[in-house]
Amino acid sequence: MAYAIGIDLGTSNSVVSVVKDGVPTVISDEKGNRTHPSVVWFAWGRQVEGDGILVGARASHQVLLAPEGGVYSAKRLIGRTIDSIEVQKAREAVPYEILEGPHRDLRIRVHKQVYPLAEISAHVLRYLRGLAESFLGEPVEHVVITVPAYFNDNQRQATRDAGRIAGMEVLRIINEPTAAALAYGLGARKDEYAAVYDLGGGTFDISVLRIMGDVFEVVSTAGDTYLGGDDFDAVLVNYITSQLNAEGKKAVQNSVGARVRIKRAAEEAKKKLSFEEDTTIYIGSLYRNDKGEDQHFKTGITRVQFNQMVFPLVKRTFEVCDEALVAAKLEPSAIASVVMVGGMTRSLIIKEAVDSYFGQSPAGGVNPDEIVSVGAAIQADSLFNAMQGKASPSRSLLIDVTPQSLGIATAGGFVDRIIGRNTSIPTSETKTFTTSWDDQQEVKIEVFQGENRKIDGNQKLGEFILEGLRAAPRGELKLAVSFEIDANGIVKVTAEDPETRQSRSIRVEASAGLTEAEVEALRFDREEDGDDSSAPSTDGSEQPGA
Amino acid sequence: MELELRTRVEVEAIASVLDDVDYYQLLKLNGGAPIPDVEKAYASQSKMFHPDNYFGVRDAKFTRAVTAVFKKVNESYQVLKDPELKKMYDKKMGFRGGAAGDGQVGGRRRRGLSKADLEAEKEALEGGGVVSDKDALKYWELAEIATMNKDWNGVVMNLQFALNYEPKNPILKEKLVDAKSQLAEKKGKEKNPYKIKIR
Repeated sequence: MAYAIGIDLGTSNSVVSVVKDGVPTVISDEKGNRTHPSVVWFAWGRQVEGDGILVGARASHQVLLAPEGGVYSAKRLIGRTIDSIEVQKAREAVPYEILEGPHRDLRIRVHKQVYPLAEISAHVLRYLRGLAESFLGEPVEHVVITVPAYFNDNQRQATRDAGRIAGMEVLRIINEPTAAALAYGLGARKDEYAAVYDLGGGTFDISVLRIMGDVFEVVSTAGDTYLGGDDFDAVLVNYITSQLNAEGKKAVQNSVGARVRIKRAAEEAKKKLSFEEDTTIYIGSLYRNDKGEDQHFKTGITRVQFNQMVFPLVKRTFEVCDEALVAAKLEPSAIASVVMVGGMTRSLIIKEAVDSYFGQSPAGGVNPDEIVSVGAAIQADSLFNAMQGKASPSRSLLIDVTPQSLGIATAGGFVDRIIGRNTSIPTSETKTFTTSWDDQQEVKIEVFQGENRKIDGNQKLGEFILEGLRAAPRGELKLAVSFEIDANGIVKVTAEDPETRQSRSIRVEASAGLTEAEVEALRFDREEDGDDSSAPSTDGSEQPGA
Repeated sequence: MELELRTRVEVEAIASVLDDVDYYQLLKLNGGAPIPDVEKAYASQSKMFHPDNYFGVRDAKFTRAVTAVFKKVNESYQVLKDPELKKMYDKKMGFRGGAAGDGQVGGRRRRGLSKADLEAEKEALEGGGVVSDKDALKYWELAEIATMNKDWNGVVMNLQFALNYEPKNPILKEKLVDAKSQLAEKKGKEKNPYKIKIR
């Protein structure tokens, strides 16, 4: 019997689960680890067995020894453009080189080799698929992958591409908080509002859901893709390096190995401060003195100090919560249960803050690291069963929303909104365009995602050129352009001349991602897999979104 | 996946009349039904019409039909769960608190009402009630931004555009007169140094 798996592809760690005999199960590696670092490590030359690529716990270990071969935090970069703030920030923090690909996508250079970013994520996905296959004892072809609710179209498409490069059919891209709600609410048939507070390694999301029996309706969602546990670590890293600077040991920070060890020490201290009032940060042999002797670094920090330093970050998460509740037209007290997701929610300061904001303690019995992947596995099972015509005992229906408004550029540098944020998906809107001059042959449409009325504050998804228009006096030719957001949150644009009922070709000019041909060429299963059965079906008239 | 004939017939029948049914009919409710009923109906209709329920059906015609129906179910819900939009919709359609019967309103009027129209109208009401036309509103907003930037040329231009859509709007006219005098004053100031230079 075949299975479909659920993968929580995280910034720092990933988790893979499967529903087996009706029971969701989190899959461990050979050492019993249930979460797997989203780290890919490339050997210099080919001195390691196999293809010289390690993923997960072993890759994470190698990064300590040979940091220049490691690629991590790929999720922070996926689907972004080279000029974005996040990429500029990452360039300073990571040891690998970030380049721009031919279609405004990002590429990574490690050991003089250049890899598309989606391929890095694909290595993580392939590793997780391998773990599932050894657990199940059979090949796995189908997957549901989760993304932060606030991910835009480019980021969702790039994630789906990564799944396909890893040789799987991606049944669905679902939102992390929604997956968590599905896993949490399973079996508890009630009618209530729930909130999912999801603070992961690199992103923050809040989703408000209405659970009506086995129908899970997302009412609103809000997020910040620039805010996560890593930012809390960075505060402590700054604390450590500022003390090193005071000691005049600046040179040490330029070494990649030292940076990695300082980051680990910061993470360690952050975790300890949830259980202890104060802790000592100790990093052995961090630098050498003038005489060439190894020197240790040691400093102390109290919980009160830490809480003060991270307060702006904590406060920011509740500003985002306010936004989601306002959109849902609810008061915090209307929320019947709060589900906490993401490793960072283990932190005491977050638990206490959530408690006081919602006026109740977060739901118990939830493993914040695993719940998203469990939800993904449940959804994978449900869709896979429907696909095979089998009834699933726990068939829940998920109705999600689009996190950001979709619009097009208009004269004067403004964005005309076509589909508003928090609209249930799938959805579509049709807009009619006319030509501005006689015998106009092309119409250019620039598509944006975001809330700002001015173009500047929005993310450009791409631009479309409707070409080969029939000759007509200006204003006479009308084009019905349909903007569709599918259940994956992925945007598709199609155009039709209502008079002739003829669909127009749409050329994607500037989408930050890989082309269809590139994804196909990169697929790991290309050599051994001859048939096209696992290739996603495209019906030719449409090109995948902006 | 095998599709029950009954399901196929029902879905395709509804899809073919989507433009002729009102939001309440689509949710199988009496016209003007209260919001809690709308919510319950949405949950049960979603279980029937959400495309995920037919994930494995490899029949493009059916998939298109069920997706179209669900999108409309969604649209109905977005309007009817929002107290303000529901009120506007009920008023225009002649529904009163669930008591009004069907058939009071002709089909033509029904078809013309969409979520987008209602939202545009709501936005216009929220926009201070100065303008009600959707296009006029756009230029009115641009004029307001230009006013903030003291770009009087832009103010005049956008107000004139707005007046194309609402030629009789008194506030727009008044603002235009004001903006024109501001523009004249600004031009006056700019001209002076130039004249001095000539001398």
